[in-house]
Amino acid sequence: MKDTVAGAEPATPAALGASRSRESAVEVVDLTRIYGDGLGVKALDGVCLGVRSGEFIAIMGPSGSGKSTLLHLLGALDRPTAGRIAVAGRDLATVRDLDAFRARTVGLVFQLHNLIPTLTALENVEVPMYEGPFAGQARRERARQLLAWVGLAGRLDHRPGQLSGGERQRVAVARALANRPSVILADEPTGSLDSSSGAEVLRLLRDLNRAEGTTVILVTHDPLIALATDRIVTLRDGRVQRDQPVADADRHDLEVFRRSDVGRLIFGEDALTPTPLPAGPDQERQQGVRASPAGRGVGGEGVSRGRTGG
Amino acid sequence: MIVRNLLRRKTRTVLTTVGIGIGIAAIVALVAIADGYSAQFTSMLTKSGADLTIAQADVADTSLSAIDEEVGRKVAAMPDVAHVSGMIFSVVPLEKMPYFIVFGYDPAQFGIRHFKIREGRLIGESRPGSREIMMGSSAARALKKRIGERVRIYGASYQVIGIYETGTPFEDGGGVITLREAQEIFKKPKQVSLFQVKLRSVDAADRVQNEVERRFKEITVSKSAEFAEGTQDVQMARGFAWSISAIAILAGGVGMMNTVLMSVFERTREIGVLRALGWRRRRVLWMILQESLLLSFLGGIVGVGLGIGLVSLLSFTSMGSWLAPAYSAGLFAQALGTAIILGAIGGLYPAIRAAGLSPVEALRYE
Repeated sequence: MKDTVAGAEPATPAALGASRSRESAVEVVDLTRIYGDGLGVKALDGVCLGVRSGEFIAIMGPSGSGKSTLLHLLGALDRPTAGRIAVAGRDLATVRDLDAFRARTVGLVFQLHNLIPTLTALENVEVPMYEGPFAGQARRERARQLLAWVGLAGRLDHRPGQLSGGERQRVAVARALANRPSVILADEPTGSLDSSSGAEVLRLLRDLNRAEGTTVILVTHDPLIALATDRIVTLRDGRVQRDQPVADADRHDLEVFRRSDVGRLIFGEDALTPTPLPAGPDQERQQGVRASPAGRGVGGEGVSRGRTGG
Repeated sequence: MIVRNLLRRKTRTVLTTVGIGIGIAAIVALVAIADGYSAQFTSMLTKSGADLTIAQADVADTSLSAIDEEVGRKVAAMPDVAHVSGMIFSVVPLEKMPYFIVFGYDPAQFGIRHFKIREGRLIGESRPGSREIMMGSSAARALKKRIGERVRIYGASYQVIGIYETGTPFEDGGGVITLREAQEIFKKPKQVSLFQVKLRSVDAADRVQNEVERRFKEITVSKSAEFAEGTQDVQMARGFAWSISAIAILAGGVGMMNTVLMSVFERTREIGVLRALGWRRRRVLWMILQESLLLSFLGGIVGVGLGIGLVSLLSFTSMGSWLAPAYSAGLFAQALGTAIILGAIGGLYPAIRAAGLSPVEALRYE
């Protein structure tokens, strides 16, 4: 089973069919979400936001600012109290089958990987495909290709418990891509990872965005992580406080970030051409991890440089 | 995925399976015994070739039935009736066989003819008061009695003059004396427990049945093959079997619902993830339901095994010679069906709960 994948050239996201739509990816108008009745908590208070297709944006803000609520609303996990949301050109208020929307239009990456512990990496990637267009052998094949693309071709039959934190999160990214979503919604995807594993996940998302134009919306409270994106939207008390392109960010901050390990991994020379992670070094890395399975991949991830940038 | 979910908590799965298994085992064992009891009763009455069986109406236990011999004579005189054979039976506790059944037959009537003599001879009317008994083969084995030896029944000593076999455990585990002596020691002067009736033509069965019931008060006439099912004994045994089983099943079912509910609670977050990834409520519902169905199906299979084991253990006890459990495909189907229905009912509530979880709240669940 592994042979067919290891031998083959890992497919590019385009071949995997990550889709890119021309219209705006996300339109949010006057979005309000109040928890509880009447005098409940106003998690979002009249948020307006437009995200063009192919953008890579970060949503920032302190805890309680409404970041996660916004993401849940965009992912159709929750219903707004007032306001309008359109994702990939579809007004969520008019979407009849929200389950199908969740399965096919958006791809979710959580802070905690949230993989199903009893299933192998391959089976975890297949989970959303039960509601998608892929069936039978095609489903399995696609799951294999996606895992190969995130650099886990040799880990197909591992359970989450046998994977490092970074590997689990990469499985989660593969799972989010399963049904060719037009928008990836990532809720602090690096939040529970060490910086080098986090950088890899971030780079995956950036590769996806750069090479395939998939819209990525990343929620983070880490300002340096946010600098890896194109645009930063800051929420405070349920309102948009600031919305600016990363290019306009503090030049000093940007410089510091680009020199950090995370920044180098993302913006460094090897990152200039977003290509699928090469199979060779990948294999070595996996063996390194296998030798110290309890190491949670801190040193085992094979990034020799020290940890900084957090 | 279903199987792996169940394997997550192996001990709990095993315990729950055993819990359901015990309930199903109770059904299998008790109903098989009750069915066997009924089947033995039926074979006792049909092997003689009788078409109809007459007993006293409304007795709690067939061995308490008493009908005057006079009734038999009058029935025998009816045009459609070929022969009438009276019979008394009663349980006589012996030292080594607490459920020794003593039958009283008139050697001149047809009822005694289905006792196939293996050794010795039939009891005879030749010498009244001779205190002769013929014993069933398994009773003779259990009591270690040979021809010529004696057994005490209600203080009187009987000489074993023959050993028979009929293939019906009730009979093979008992003994036969003459009707006269049975009437004496069981205090049924000029009475019998049952009359067996042979007709000239089976077609007359309904007619004779109605006629006899009309003419004689407080008696009941049944086709011999159906007599056992109609008796209070069999109905009680069966009712007893099902009510004990119902209690056991209820306990197992509550245990199962608890297990499935616990596993849903534990997996709240996971279920939230599945929903967030686009799984429909239906799919979540079906997943949980399948888990509980698989659990109860396994419980059913364990239960059938346990039930058979239980009955074979019982056969080593003093009532063992009596037991002739009747296992039928129908009984196993009933047992497994009960288990599966249990699984469906026990799993439905947890499954509905799981399917009803809001993805956002389930994801926040720690």
